[in-house]
Amino acid sequence: MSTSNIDKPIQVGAAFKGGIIVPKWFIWEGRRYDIKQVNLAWQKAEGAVLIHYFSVSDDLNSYEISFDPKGMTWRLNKTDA
Amino acid sequence: MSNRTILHVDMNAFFAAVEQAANPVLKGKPIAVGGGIGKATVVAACSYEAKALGVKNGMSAWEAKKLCPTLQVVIGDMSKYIYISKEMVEIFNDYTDLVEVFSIDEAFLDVTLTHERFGGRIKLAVDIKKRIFDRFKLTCTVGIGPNKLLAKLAGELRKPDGLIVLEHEDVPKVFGSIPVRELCGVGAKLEEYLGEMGVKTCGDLGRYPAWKLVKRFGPALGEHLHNMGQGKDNSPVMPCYREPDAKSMGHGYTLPRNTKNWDEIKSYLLQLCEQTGRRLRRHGYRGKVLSVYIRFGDFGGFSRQKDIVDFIDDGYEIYERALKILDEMDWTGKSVRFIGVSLSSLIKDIDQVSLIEKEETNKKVLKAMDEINDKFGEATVTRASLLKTELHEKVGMVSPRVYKKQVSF
Repeated sequence: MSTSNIDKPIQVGAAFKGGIIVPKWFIWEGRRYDIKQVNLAWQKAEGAVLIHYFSVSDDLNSYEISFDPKGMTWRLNKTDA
Repeated sequence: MSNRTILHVDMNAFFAAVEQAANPVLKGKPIAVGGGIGKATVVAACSYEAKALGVKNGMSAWEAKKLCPTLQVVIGDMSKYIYISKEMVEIFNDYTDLVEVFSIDEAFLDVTLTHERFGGRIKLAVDIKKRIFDRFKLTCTVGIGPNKLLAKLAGELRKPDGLIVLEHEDVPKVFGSIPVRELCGVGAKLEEYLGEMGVKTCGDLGRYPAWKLVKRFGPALGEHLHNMGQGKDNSPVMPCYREPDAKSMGHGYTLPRNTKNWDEIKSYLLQLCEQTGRRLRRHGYRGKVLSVYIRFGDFGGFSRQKDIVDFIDDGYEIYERALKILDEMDWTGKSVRFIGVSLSSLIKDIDQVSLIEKEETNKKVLKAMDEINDKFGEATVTRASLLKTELHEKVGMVSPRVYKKQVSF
């Protein structure tokens, strides 16, 4: 397994169920990735902002994406292939 | 303190299990979690699959890879572990408010007054295990006993994913075979001293005359060891809202590679001193006994403690004093592997106004820096000399003592 640090903005489609964010797909560099599994979700304070992190996988690889609720932006942090 | 019901919850291979839960490709594989992926990386935690192949916590990644060539080294992410740990404490608080966070992956629960409400201690323990697994896909071992000592010891008897009850009457049967090192608080040195006295198991300790333990180790430790040998422990489960004030605060760092470069060493030292100062100010402490620790590449070391008379909380002031301590160090030709600094003899919430204008201005600068870093993130504002120094905040390992303070909210 190799980890690649990406740290790029992405577009994400997510459901909001019972106070929980469930990312469903994301688009990175023009390609859509359908999320088959949200493996882990956690939060981390960066200054006064609570960033939401998700480890997700599709059929092939795992990805770490994050949501900044202040800027309302999503980022792809890294991939594990 | 008799007839208590105490649970000890211990997450199994916690850091490694979290990384395996985050990335299912790693499940069932030997993995080690470290602060980096270089040769100097120390294995902070490893999966059960790696342990089965001889990998141990505390080994270098290089040694571990030699033992297990298929070992995958994963860079740790403390934010994940701290978040999950806090969420688990929330789960525990559903059953009792007497929750003592012993470390990032262990907690004691006193459910004496509440377990019957939840169907009894076994059902309560099974519920906790299920909730943790359903939420995080992580397993834990729960030990149940009439005190913290026996609850923790029970947990050691069956890992992973165990649930064991140890009562007082089990002590004679069970203690005979358990090495004395398994008792909480008995480290390698104490084990060695006890071994010299012929005490190798908990049963040996229980049979050893109390007066001889007191003679060898003093009244406090001697009595404590005697009690442990009998399975006795009256210490209460201490929730965070009852914890005493901190005795010391500090930071240490294993360098990504050993170095003899004095400028590089000084910049790491400054970063650690700044972190220590920041944490002191956040919690309202100042300290006046400064300790500096250096470990060399040959695993020799240097440590000094000095009473600096003034109570301080400014990272740069801590750094200047630490440099004076290091002037005494003989390190000709040696490379440095680890740097640590801490301040003890702490006082709390004392803000003396200084008559020296420069000191008052400095306090205002520090306050402004802290407010900016609180709002926008650590190191948003930092000293210019630290711009090239990275303690790799994302991968830094946090000692259990430090973690306990972070989770005490």
